[in-house]
Amino acid sequence: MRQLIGYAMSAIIIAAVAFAFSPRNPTPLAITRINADRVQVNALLANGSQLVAVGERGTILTSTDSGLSWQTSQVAAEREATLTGVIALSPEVLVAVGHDGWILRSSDRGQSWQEVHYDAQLGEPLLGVWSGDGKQVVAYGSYGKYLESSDAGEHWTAREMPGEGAHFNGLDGGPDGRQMLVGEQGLVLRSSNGGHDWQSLTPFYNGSLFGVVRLSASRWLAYGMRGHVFISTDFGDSWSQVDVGSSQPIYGHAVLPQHAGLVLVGAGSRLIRLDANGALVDSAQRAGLGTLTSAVVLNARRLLVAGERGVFQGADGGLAAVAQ
Amino acid sequence: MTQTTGWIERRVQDCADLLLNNRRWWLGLFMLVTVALGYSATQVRLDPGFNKQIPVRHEYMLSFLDFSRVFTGANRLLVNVHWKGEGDIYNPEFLRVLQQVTDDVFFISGVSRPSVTSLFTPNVRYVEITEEGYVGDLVVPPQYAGTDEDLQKVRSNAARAGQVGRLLANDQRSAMVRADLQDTDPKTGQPVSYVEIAKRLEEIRAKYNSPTIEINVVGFAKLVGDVVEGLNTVMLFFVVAFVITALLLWAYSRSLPLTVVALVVALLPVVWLLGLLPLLGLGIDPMSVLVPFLIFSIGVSHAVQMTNAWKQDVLAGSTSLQAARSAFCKIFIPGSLALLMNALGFAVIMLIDIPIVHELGVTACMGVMLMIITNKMMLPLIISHLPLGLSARVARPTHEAARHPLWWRLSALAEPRPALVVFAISLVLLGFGVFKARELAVGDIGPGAPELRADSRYNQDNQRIIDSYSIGLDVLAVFLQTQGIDEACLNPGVMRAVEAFDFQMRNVAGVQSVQSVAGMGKEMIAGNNEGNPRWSAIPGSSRGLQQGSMAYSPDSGLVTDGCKRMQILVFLNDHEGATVFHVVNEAKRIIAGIRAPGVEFKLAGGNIGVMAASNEAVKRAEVWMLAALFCSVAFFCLLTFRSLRAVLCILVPMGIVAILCNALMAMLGIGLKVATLPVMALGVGVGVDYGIYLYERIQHEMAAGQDLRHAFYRAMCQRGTAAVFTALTMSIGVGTWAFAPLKLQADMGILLAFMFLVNVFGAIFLLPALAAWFNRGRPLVAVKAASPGTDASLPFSGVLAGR
Repeated sequence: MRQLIGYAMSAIIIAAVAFAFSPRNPTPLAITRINADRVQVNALLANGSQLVAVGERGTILTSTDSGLSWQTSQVAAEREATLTGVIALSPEVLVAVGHDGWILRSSDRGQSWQEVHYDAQLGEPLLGVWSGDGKQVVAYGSYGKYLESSDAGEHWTAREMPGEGAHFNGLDGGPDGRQMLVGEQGLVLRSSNGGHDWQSLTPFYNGSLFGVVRLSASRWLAYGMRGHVFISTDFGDSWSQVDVGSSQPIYGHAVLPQHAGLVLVGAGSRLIRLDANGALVDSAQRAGLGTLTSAVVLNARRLLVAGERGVFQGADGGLAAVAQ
Repeated sequence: MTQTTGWIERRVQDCADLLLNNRRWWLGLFMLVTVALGYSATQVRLDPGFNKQIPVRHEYMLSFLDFSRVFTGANRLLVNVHWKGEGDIYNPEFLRVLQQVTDDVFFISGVSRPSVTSLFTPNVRYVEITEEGYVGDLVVPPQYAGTDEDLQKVRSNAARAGQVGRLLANDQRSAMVRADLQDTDPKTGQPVSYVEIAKRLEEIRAKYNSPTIEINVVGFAKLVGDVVEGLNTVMLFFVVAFVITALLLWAYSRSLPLTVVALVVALLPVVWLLGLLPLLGLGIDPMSVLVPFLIFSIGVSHAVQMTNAWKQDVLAGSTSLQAARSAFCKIFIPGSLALLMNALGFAVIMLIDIPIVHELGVTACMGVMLMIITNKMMLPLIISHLPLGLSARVARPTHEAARHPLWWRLSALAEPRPALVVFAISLVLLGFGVFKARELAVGDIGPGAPELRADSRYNQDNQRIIDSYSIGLDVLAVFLQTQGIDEACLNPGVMRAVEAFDFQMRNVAGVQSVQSVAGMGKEMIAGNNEGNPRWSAIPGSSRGLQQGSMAYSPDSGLVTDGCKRMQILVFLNDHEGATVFHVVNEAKRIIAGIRAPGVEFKLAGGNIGVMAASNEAVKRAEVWMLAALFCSVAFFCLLTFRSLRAVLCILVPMGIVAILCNALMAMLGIGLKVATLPVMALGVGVGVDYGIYLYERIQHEMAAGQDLRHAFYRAMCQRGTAAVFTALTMSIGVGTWAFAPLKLQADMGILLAFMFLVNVFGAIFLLPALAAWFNRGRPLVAVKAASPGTDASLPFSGVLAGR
């Protein structure tokens, strides 16, 4: 027994060897969660102080701290279809649209979403959603798709539209019932009675238009391919081109508060600032943001932009400069 | 038992007679062999290869080797042309150089020509959507003449080609030429020589480097080239080690003949080994280059033991021949046992299922086995011819004359009380060692190539490329196999599965970017719809998918014809062990969450796939290797000494050493990988020598009636001096590697030097301390009743001592 110490010592060391060489794993890296700058964002929405971004594979992100951190929302049906547009009908009720004719609706400020429309057979995208009064909603998109809802996005019915099946890319309107719809190959439709009747305008441009903005009842602005921006001061009867000094396509816009004009965003990380009359104020190219699809105004000084490389938090002083 | 032991000793004596009675014949034969193998050794060649580093039987590598027949790209070269002058790259001088570099890379033999990609190659096109539709063309127009207008055109085309971050640096100040290498040269049918390719690339660098242009080259071939270049200094280190060993030997033995004999005998197995390699069709690669060093070091160690034993007998009055015979009889068993242990240490390395490591194991094993012939048989022959110089007789009094003061004081450790101090110190070291050893990382640590130093040209080039582009060389390829689906790229289920993987992987920490057919298809679909990014999605119908059909061509290198097989490329920020582990685990998790009938995801290719597989192989092998090593050492010791306590005395110090080795690696930032794992096996295998030699003597002396302290003291005088001396010599010899240009070598050198030293400390401090406590109550070794020499019929001491 007096040898016990010797055996004990040996046992300790052998146990230590066993422990030291037992399998070990490296300290784990950060847990995988959706990275707001690695997901394609197609539309941004400022719903009061809340921000909503929708995009790739049905991703819906919300932020309550001006875009510094983002949370993923729950979507009832996992369709993996990409979302292209989002609007707020009221602070509570939101509607998002996307590929495969997918329409989602949320009645809890975007926390959870329910599917209200889906069409996998066709597999063609809706490209935008718009509402003037929060009750009457339209969703529009590829091949002249035009869906209407009169119960705040609960039920949808398709409607035939003029335009010979061209893609509808953008729609804007006002409380006076004047609306304008733009699309593929210079298509512009106009309605004066809240979208009941649509009239096709004489084409003034043969390329595609990606968006339209109502600056006032008579002053409208349309933008599209290769840096083309057009302005009309007579509700679309005549158009003149604004030279923005860029030939890169423009895909989105944000209207600045207090009639301070608007900001257009597009390919090549380009940001273009126009005044309330549609005259060019400034045009700048940011580095490394890729193609931008959307922008929203956070406050008088700050703008948030998003695109194929995700959302970019407002810390960039350069963006603020353009937004001012 | 008794019969066996006696029989072994008699056999050893018979062998000694057989050997020494015909010593001229034997010596002549060995000399002849030496000359023949020496000639053959001149044919030895360097033999690095990409596939040799792959753990070929790992599940990942089976998929990788299968899919690499259709997809290339694991063995990629990047040549970066960096503009150091004013402005960006769109100037005539830069574009001219880029074009010439593209051409030069294209004509390097061994480069797969269709894979060469730069702004000047036809496989890079830009696409622009205009009012009239698609416009696509070469980035550099065929009529390019370098005018301002042309330069503007190139600038805008390059921006539209979607190559920013890939072929074009994010800051527009560099552009890249990318190429894949073939495995065999189609012209000669020979394996592609990386060394040659690295030379060609270095020529390109020399040709175009100028005050305004900087060339950076990375890729496995270039790395091998740089490593091989670093190996050229190996000879220098060999010479340094040789000179240091010679000086120390001389200082130790004070006898020129003994020094020369020890050196020559230590060199013999190296020569024999290098001679055998070409005969066996093997070569030396960057990893096994350390083997000759080790063999030399071990050779010196054993030669010193033998000459030491011989000298002691000569000093005691024997003739050279008698002393040689007696040295052979004394040393052959423990020496050969120790060598077998070493061989075992090298053999367990073969548990790592990677060809390059197998070769290392085979080479080292062979070298050690050869040493049984050269050191244990040839050395007695040589020394039997040697007259011992008078100088040595005078300079070193015999150990019986006066007590060696240092060893006598040390032998106090064989008393229980001082032994407790040793235990306490050991436990402190052990605790610290275990704590640190748990932090040892598997895989690479730090950016760049771990084989080279951080400030090496290659790693600087690598850093520049990582800094300027969104993709680097660190690629994980994930493969897809579809079953029973025609035109999988038009199947929404398949494409959404690919998209899901692409999307989720992009959000994994450590991932830089992802390339997949879904990503390319989306871009193409958007392109077909006026370039509108809101169309950039995988539609839910195959009609919608048809719009992206241009992306589904095998030219992209992501799919085969008909999309039966696909690969998804995941670019990583770095190749650190932790990153690789995390990304591969996340990939597995994501794949498990994707439900798509008819689609099977398979891991993993690319250099990261290879690393993941080798890291897993290393991790698994680490435990197995040590277990096998310890168990077999225990088994052989048990067989020889017939005592559990003896096994513990020898094994326990080894355990501490192994832990401390891991702790040192963690502290020095050396990752456990294919190159460093063998070091532990080598270190432990070599280190067990000391314990065996010492214990064998202690047993012998105790059997002759000495108490433990005296037995240990005598063992130290007879073997300990030589053991400490050889440990020092070997440590200093490999320690010089710390200054080697290759980090791989420096790491190995530091680790081995540490292992050699700590092993001898374990043997001279911890072994007697353990023995002291094991000796209490019942003696460790029973005293033999009769004097040695007539012991053949008596019970072997160890049997009684066993328990």
